[in-house]
Amino acid sequence: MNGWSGKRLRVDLSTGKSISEPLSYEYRRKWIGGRGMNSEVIYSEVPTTLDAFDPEARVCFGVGPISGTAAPASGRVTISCKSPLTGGFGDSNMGGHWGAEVKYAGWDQIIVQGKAKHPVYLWIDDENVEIRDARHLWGKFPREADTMIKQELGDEDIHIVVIGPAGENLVRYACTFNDVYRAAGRCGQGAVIGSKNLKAIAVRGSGSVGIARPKEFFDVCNRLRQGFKDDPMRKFLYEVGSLSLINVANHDGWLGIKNFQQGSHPDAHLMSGEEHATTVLKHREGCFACPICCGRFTEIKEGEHAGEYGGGPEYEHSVPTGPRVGIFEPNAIWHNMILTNNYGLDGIECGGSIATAMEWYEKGLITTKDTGGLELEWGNADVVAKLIGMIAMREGFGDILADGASRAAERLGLGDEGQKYTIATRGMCLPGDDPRGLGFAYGVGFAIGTRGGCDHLRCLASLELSGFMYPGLNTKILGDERPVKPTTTVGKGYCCFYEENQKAMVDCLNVCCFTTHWSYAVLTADQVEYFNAATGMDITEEEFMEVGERVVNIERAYWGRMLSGLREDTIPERFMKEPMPQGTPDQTNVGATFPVQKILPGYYKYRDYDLETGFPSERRLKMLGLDYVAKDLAPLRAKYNSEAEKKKKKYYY
Amino acid sequence: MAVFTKAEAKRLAELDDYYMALLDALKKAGVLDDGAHRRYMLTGYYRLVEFLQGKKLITAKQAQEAMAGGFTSLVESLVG
Ligand code: SF4
Repeated sequence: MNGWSGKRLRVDLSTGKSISEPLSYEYRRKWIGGRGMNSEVIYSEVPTTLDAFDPEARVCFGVGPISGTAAPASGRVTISCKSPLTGGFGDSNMGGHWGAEVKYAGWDQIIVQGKAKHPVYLWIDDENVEIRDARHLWGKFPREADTMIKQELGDEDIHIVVIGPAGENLVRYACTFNDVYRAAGRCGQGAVIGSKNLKAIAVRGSGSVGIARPKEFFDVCNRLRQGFKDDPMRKFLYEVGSLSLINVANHDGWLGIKNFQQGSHPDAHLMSGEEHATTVLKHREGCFACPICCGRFTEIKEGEHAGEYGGGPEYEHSVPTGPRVGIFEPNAIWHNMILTNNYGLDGIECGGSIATAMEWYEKGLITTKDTGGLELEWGNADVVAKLIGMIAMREGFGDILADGASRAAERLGLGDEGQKYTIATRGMCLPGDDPRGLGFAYGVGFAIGTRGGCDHLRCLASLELSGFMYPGLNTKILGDERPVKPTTTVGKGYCCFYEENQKAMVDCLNVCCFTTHWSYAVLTADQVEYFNAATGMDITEEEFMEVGERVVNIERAYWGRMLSGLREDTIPERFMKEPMPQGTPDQTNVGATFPVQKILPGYYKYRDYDLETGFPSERRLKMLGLDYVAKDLAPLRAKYNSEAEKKKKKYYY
Repeated sequence: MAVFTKAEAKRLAELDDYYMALLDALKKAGVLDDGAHRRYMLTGYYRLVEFLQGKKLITAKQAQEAMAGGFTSLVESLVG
């Protein structure tokens, strides 16, 4: 078979059995791989009423038809589950080399269900699957566990997915690693994996990926790789990493400082990628087949944390436990980054939860009586570092924040006033980008993201972020250059629709979005070209984008089944009502607010979402071959608009 | 070719959400059928321009201008 392996592995940890399931031509064509296949499994096999930690819940690891090939950055893997953080649909993806190894072992997807009696890890050696004792690995940091498993299996070259102590302790936003430092951060898959008593999945593959038309495929890949040489975004990402955004964000006022009370600060440059590269950068490292190589490693050289070493930083990981909690001292930020990685925590939700608690403290909603004596003042680096450990180990006040900001507000009995400061939608803290400056299409992504309020990586409307580096690109795709301006509403509805479908395809192929959205060196037509050459399936650009639309719709429908729709498509009040204050003299967005409601109706038109409920329309679902989904949603449309339902405030599910 | 009136062209240029309005207007004028309307919604503006050129509704030069100047330039070419 070309492209795909044509089968997936299902492991039941309760029974100890594993089976291989064939993936039909029709199924592969309909869902492609990675996020697409995973989303289909979550929709079909995980009831919305099931607790995310129920043994019957699934966690899916999906790779795509070009994973493990010469296509640029084709080694990513998507992990999907019902999120224990939001209670709704959840997924996240990561780079590294594990995805490619899964493919070489002969699998397109791994589904894990059930719960082992004691801690175990999976050893997948091509077709052979073994469940091994992991009691001695429980409690270990990812780096230690990775080393121990490699020693045990006698092979340094295998690749391992592993969780940290936070996942074992069911912190609702525990993340998952592979190759020690590559993390799937959002939605809490690490906790679902931990709930199954699964510590790690080690994989060794000796196979290869079949290519239908090798010459054509390698010609496309070579052409695209050449294109990266002159790509302006690649240069930034390689030289300075994603922290190249710090100075830009500070200038344009979208750095989420002190829980988004500010967007710019005179000290922000201290943690910029430019500063990092000349002070603590140890070395750079890329994921499988990556022409960009944005990854970096840090060694702290001075102060109380001197000698600490770890993967990162990355913008979205470091802003939440830095500026978002009022910390600008770089070594304290790198220390927090190393801590969250060691414990296996999603840096965004972790920092977001701490920042929220700091604002509750500032506003007098909580006191030291609630926090166990911790003084949650902005910029208190000692308290933040201490809390990170307490969250991971579920100790004291950390146990409350381990449930995420929205659930913590409820546990503390803070009501709507407490929820107002969570800076979250659908139960998930937003990443560190303020739409009042970053861009309105990005902000719409926060409202409609199909994995909750994250969604710097769902809608991924980079046409407005990096579009200025690619003159003419907005016109080519959107028909106008004006949408490149972040704070305009012009063209943003279509921008969101196009980019969201396109990003879904990037996640179905499991290539890195830095090659397709931040950098636009690989466009849709290029993706169709290498997909067709690899698989021989020969689909059109229209069909390709339609798969993306299908994936978005089935994820949206999962939320619909939970009665989450149009009323929940919103963003924190702060962005809509509080004009951006001035933080630095040259900040460009002073006074800006974000009129999300002005853009959403246009976006719904492209989606054909039902304007009463925000659910995907029956017509569109049927057009996408999702008749069974339309049937599921039919009785829920009236229910969503019942008076009883309208009165409910849903902060999470 | 004459597809739009000047008033329609002006209306489109003033809209925030111009692309759906453009596709709808082309459908109403009989230039796009349902399938083509959907196709160019999924694949983007440049594919629409290619289609219009392929149908000889705009010349190669007009297509080039439409790619440089965006949809307002395209609409101008289609004003009767
Ligand atoms: S750009 Fe960075 S995250 Fe993406 S594949 Fe390359 S190294 Fe990994």
